[in-house]
Amino acid sequence: MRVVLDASVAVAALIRPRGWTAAQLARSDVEWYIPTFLLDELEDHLREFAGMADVSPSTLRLRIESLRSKRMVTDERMKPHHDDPIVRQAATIDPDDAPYLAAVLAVRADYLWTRDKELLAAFPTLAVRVVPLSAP
Amino acid sequence: MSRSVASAKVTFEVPGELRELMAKHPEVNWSAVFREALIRHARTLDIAKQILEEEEDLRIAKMTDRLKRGAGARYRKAVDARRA
Repeated sequence: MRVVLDASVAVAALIRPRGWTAAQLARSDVEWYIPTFLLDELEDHLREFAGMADVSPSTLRLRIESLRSKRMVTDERMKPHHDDPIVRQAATIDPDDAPYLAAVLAVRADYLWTRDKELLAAFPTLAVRVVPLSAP
Repeated sequence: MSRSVASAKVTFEVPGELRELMAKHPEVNWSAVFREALIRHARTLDIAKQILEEEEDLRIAKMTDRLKRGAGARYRKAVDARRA
């Protein structure tokens, strides 16, 4: 099962490394995918984000590195999907949500894991608040 | 780190109608059925509580918003650059 993470999930894992979200990311029944631009943005503004997370920049960098151990979705892989109807639909809700749908299409993900209420409402079969267990 | 907790016996009151229905199926280990249902429900509640704690964490909300905006702008810039 393939699952793309959005910003809300990545941040929950970064701020609470012993929390429920972080524990879920250790599941071996799921292939986790993270858009590279998310981690690039975090690293380019490391001090600012460290302040928000209430940790030192070095601590946040270590946590970001642990996210980099997941599978990356590069801009190049998302490129063919920029104009897909589902990506456009997401952009009408919020332009900042579009890249996650492009990432889902790029890796043919089963789910988009998000806490974003608008995405959950707009894509009820694709966007999930809790990633279901894989079928045995 | 795991913590060992001794088993405890818990008594439940069930409606008479249910008790009669259960009595019709003596082959069923009702104690195990109750135990499984309780475990499932308790775990669901525990997960819901943990998710709620994360969703109510203002640091997470604030940083998510900032990251989403920054990453979104980065993505649009990449898309525009390819189209140009």
